[in-house]
Amino acid sequence: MSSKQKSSIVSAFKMHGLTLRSEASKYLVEALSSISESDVAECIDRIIESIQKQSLSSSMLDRATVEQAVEDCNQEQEEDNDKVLTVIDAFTVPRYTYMTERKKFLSNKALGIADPCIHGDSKDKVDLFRDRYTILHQRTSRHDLFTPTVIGSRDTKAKKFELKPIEFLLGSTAKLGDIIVLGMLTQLKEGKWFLEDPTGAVQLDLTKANFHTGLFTENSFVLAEGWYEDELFHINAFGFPPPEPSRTTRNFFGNINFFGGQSETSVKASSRLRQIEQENETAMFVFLSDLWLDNLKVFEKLRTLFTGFSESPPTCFVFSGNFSSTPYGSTHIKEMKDNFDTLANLILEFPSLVEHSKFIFIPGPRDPGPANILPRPSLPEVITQGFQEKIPNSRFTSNPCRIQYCTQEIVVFREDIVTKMCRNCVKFPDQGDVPEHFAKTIICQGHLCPLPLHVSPIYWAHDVALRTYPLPDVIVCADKYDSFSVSQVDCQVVNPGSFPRNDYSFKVYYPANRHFEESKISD
Amino acid sequence: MFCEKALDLIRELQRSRGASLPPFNEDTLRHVLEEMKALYEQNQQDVNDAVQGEAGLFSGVQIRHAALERNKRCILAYLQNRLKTTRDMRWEFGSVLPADVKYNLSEAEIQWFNKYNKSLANYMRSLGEDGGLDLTQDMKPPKTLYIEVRCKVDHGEFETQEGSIVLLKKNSQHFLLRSECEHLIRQGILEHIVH
Amino acid sequence: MANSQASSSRSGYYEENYFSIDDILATHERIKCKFEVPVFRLGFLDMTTDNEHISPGSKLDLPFWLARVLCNKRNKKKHIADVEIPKQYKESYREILLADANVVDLHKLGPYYYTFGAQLLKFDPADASDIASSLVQTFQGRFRNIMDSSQNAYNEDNARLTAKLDEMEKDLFKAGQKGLNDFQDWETRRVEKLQTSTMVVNHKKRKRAALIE
Repeated sequence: MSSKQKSSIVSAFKMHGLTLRSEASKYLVEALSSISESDVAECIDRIIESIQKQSLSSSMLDRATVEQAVEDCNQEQEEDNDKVLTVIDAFTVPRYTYMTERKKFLSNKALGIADPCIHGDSKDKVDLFRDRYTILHQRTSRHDLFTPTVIGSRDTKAKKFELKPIEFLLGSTAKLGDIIVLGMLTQLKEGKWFLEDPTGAVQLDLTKANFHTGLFTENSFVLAEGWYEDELFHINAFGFPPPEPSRTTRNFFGNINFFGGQSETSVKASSRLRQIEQENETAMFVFLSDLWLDNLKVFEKLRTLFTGFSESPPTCFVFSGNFSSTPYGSTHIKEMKDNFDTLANLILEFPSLVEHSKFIFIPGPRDPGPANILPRPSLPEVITQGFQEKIPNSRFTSNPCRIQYCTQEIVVFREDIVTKMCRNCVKFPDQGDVPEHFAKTIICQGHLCPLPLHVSPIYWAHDVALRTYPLPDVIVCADKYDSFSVSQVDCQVVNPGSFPRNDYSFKVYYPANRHFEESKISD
Repeated sequence: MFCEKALDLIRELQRSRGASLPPFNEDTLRHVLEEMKALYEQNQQDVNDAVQGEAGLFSGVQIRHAALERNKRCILAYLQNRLKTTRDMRWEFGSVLPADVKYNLSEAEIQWFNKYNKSLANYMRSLGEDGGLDLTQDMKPPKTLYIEVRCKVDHGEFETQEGSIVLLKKNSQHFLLRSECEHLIRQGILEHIVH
Repeated sequence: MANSQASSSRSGYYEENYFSIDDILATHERIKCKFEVPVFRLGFLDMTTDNEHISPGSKLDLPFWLARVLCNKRNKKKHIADVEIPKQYKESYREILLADANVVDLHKLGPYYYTFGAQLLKFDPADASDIASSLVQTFQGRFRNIMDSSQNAYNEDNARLTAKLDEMEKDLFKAGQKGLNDFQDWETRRVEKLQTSTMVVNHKKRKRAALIE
């Protein structure tokens, strides 16, 4: 029996051009022995299909590959509903590198780049800026402004530009007019501004510079337009690299899942998830920032909030820190643990919420944990363990974190970044709303925190967690700044505002119609 | 001149004949599509003007239309010839492509390759009585059941149909069933020794 | 199998094939055109002037596929430009070819000399029958030599032999070489030996080259 089965397995694989190593075939015979004979053929087909989805390097299959495939097949049956809502920790986001010569993103695993570590080496620091540059550069050079004119088109007069590397400026002795360069703003010397790209750096003269909308911070990437003479780049105008709607990005790069989660391909492509999203009109996300659990008033308001929502439980509560109003020194951890216990007891009073809603907690800058470096890991288990035992449907995650709901991608970031960016501007904008400027900056930079590393340190190798390319559908920037919501190129940037500081206001998101609602609990 | 970019695609194919494929040139392809769009819009415009009563525009329309057709032909030829090579690769490399060859294919081409692979496998399994007939085997008429082979690379363990395990180590020589090792020879792992 | 497929991608050389790379390249050869009627709004095709329109009488080098559309002698309404048959198909060159076709560098006269020449006949020039017979005679004159050299150059560098050949002749030469090699392999019983696929071999070669760099 077994030898007959084995030969049928081996020949099925052979028809697909695959060979099994001895240990793999042994494993398969074992795994399939429990299945009735009539179903075996179908099972083998499914396993082969799943194997071909993995990126194989050779047609010889070893045991690990086959095991993985069998596991995948089993999972497919069970976890169909799991993909609706996924929380992705900043330290587990997928990593892709842009290959300039192939014009493709390839996963770091396929390229054989080692997994990142917290304390990276010098190469990681270089790559941090270089990768941000290559991503922006490929995006910009594809933009209409920079693609060469098509022959025979009517509007040949429309102005087209050519992106130049800084090398081009440095190599020239004559005066160069009308130049556009994509580079990073830096201060290589105290008080003097430079523009830097992988080919070199050039000093800037900003006296006549016009600034387009956005917060032009140090270490942000800009398109600088001007003329070059005597080793000085005289700037006429600064602008950000033009943003790109995520739909366009996906047109170019296919269904790669840049965002993370279990799905192999981008959730945007799944019609099934889209259907769930559309049908589930009552789905709600509650975003609330600065949940001071040591404040009685906050608890009082929370009770009102939960009572209100207990009738129609939202999909998910997203609470971001800080979870206490002031630091308590040595008793801080103990205090927080107790406060979370109290919160758990409060939630338990509302069984409908416990059953239907998910609770997500994102640490704030002053919550216990390692130093103030981004991305920040989740709260330590010491604090959260008791809570999680009582409320199993809760998740403590990192800052920033990503949430995937059906086909939508939501990034949540808890940091008082707006003020920080305003303070580090090359020139603070004269007109326009700060939120508008801020949203434009984040969207154009494709990065949540375009600040110098000494202002806002980042784990070098984990910079990718802060990138927002392709653009998600929603970026929630929980900031102590007044609440706002701005929408640009199919991406909403929202700040729920500090709960206790802003008259107990928070935001509710309805994914079915992609609408945000501002809410407040008045006295 | 019109269609220069489209011809670049064709020249690229000509240069790479007989070898595996060059990277899928999406940039140029998009550029050609842009050009076609511009041509089409221009023609639409001229036709509208002609309907309004402007005379003598049709020669221009004719030229642009020819350019449109030509662009279309170049693009289709590019895609079609690439597909042909992709199909040949299934027979040459086997069902698993080396990573750097695969990176040069576009997403759609990889899908096509997988589907072709599947169709081929299903067809081969439907042939004959027991488990199907492997068409990729015996590309040359076999003379003996067993052949002598030498390993060119370290390939690890290999299980024969009888169940005995052979360790394929570099420079080792083995006497194997021809049907079992033919594809390994084609993939350059083993070398056939003829006396 | 693989080999037959590889060669099938080159079939259709002799007739027009929509997907044939050779045919597309051959129909891209340039040909001199003289405009008979004005063409509005396409002045940018003429690099020598800045005019917005192409005026009658201007001469342009256009690719064959476009010239084919422009020159329409039967339907005067659609006739836009006159074509001038390239000099390598004219009387003087025909005489050279007639004298001794074997010494002429056909590759230089146009890598697709025969195909392009055959296509030119579609314009129905006055000396069409002369061009046609010249093409055939040239081919006949050269074929013997090509076949001879392809059948006798075994394990040799044949760059020198093929340098003067037009693309179609090169294909013939290759076919001859393949026949020779296959025959030799059969005679020395090398056919029995299973070989690594050509694509795999080329791929490995390229990888090695990349490593050395």
